[in-house]
Amino acid sequence: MSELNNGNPVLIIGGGHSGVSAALEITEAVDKKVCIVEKKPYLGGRVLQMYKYFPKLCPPFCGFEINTKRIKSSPSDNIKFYVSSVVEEISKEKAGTGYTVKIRQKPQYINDNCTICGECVKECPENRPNDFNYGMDTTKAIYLPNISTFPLKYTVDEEYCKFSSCKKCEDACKYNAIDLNAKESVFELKVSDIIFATGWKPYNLEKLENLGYGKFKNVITNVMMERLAAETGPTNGRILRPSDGKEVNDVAFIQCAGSRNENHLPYCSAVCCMASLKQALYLREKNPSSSPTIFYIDLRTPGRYENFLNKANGDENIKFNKGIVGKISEDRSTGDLMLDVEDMLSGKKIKFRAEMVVLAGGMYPNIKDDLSNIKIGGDIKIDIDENGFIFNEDFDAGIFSAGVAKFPLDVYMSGQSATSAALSVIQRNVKL
Amino acid sequence: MKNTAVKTDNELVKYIKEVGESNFKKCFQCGTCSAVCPLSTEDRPFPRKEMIMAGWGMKEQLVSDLDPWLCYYCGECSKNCPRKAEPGELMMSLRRFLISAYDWTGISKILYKSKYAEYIAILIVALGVLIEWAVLFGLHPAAGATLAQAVSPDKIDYFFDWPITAFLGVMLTSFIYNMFRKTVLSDAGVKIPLKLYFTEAWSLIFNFFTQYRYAKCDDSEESSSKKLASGKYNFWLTHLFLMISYVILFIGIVFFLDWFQAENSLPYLHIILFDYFASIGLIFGTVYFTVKRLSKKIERSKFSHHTDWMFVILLFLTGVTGVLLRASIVYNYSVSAIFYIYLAHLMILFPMLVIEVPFSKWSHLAYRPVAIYFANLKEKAKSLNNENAEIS
Repeated sequence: MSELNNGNPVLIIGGGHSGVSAALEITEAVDKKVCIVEKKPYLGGRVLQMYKYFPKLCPPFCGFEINTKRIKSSPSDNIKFYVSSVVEEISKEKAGTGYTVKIRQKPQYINDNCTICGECVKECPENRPNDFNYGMDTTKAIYLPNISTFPLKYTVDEEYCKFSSCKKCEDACKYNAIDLNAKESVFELKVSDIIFATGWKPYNLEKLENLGYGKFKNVITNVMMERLAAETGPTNGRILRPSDGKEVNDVAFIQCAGSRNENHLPYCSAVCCMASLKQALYLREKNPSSSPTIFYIDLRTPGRYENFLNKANGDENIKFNKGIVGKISEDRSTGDLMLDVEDMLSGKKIKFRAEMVVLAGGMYPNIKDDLSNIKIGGDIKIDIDENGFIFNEDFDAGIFSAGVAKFPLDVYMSGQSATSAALSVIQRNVKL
Repeated sequence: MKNTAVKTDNELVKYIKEVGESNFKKCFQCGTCSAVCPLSTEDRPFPRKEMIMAGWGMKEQLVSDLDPWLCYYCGECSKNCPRKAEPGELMMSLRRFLISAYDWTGISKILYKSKYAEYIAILIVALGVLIEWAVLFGLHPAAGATLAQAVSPDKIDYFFDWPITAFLGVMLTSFIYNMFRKTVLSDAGVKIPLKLYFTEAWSLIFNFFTQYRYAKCDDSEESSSKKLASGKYNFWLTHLFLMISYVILFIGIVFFLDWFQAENSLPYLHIILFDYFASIGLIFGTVYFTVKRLSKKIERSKFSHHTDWMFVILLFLTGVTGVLLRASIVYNYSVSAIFYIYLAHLMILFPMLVIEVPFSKWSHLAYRPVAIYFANLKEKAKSLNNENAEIS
């Protein structure tokens, strides 16, 4: 292995698909250690919440399992990860020596003794909305975040757990895996480079007042649709609408909900067209009598993704309407939704009745809000563009970005951007 | 659909840009505006198609388009536009363009393009009034003359009132005919049966006197009384109040000028109708719209063109000098005071009438109800044609 400029590890902020990919690419290529700091109690991030990837329509946990296996089989210490943790401070001692970062990790109430036997859950009296399913169902305050949870153990939601006044789970655990008195830890790390792989969150669609999300039960978002379709989701994989649990047939997909909108997200979120096509296709598969309609401005399926559009186009039950929905109202007696929209190709304005509406919401960069919670040394420059994406151009600073922290990307492209960030780190660190 | 080449006109695109503040070139044709519009119809929704017609300079289609007159600038389109392209303002700009397109003299176009042209035009008319007045009545009243001797109502009628009425009548009629030609006659797709012109005439009168389309801007499910109570009809009612006041005063002054020059004929009708209702309407209305235009809080008052300001200001000054004149007569001011107030009033009123009525913003008072009438005619004729087609 080549000699390294700096023996300290690389810090990767964010343990989603991009962060984990970058970590693996670096550690598998050179003799360099990495530390992943992940806000959630598990690695994997957003991709785990997807039902299927486009264009191959394969489930995401299959790819993620390969990654967890790669992490497990890498020499110990090469990849360290801190879940339920955030970076609080980034400072620089002197030029060229990398960075010192302060990390705060939430109390780890469950240790590695956990066998996920589930006895604790049976005893837990408190419920919490399940954020993994976008609040469409609940879990107990002690819970397994998802089926692919890695590291594989339960988690305690501090907001809902009653701690010392309850402690039923501690008593139920036969493996001494639970310690509700655990304390948070704050520690410093010296790192050579930083990769921001902080990802995204769905844009808050309640801000689009005309489309009625948050007001009408049967207006859902595209990420919620993924959970409805997933076997591990709130409806066990049956696409049923929230108001009355009816199997839906007439589903309207509304593109550019928030994206390409100067009042909301001025940029194109890059994935929503493909996502809606994918969802229309799997809706057709799951509910054979269904007839999805996609309302669009223009469909963006670049390159070979065009084939995917052709595939959807080939199904005559998938309809397309050029013209975006201006307003949605609810038919209170049925829970159906009435959409005001222009069918541009005929030039007529129509009222479209849908049993459920799926808003193709855009991607909002996490770092835009998170950065204000990180204390950053004065001489450290992090370039945030006007939309909140990180795009550092100064190679010598050793600050890189990957995935949606950089700009809106799909999973496949996020993998590429992670490799790109990894390569930059390697180039900067390895003496050739 | 016919496969015809679209003729485009770059100069027109520039002109539309000049007479308003819409960023219509930013439009990416998503259709939000047409979908949210509370006023546009199912068959020919606007303003999405106008956005692309303006962007491309499709003169033929724009000139024959009645839809800008059916738009009341509710502002839903502009509020929801993802490109901040201001479709509502584009419809406003198109109304300005249409005013200049119906005007065969070419004066409107110059006035809309340049505020200085408008100032000069107004000054010229005001000067003309001054000269005419000087010739008729001199520059100061003769000593000891009564008001009727100093400013003879007959002369006002013969040399001011009736000529201006004739001028405006000829101008507006010819412009409206032009509009009829461009929007109705030119449309080969519809033949309007003669009978319809009479059976649909109610819509002309109804819309002129109610401006009811304003009320449709808010299409929420609230009851009308709730909307009234929460102020959602304020703009409409103020606009209507101003318009009715204006029309009452115009008719009164043109045909019953004597009433204004005496203090005791038909006192009650006169006092209530003119001195109170119409005067308050004129002044309250213009102040209300000035405040709206200055605060820029609602979409339709966000942008003000120089012709908008000129119209509001001239109308306000006409109202103020008119009230002053009337007061000076009722309260027996000295003849010379009345003489000069009278002159000032006419020097403001006439530019307002000569410039604003046919060539500028005032003309919407005529074009709007007429356009709604024409649109109704076309729609009815089309549905009649369709019925006939189905029968045969």
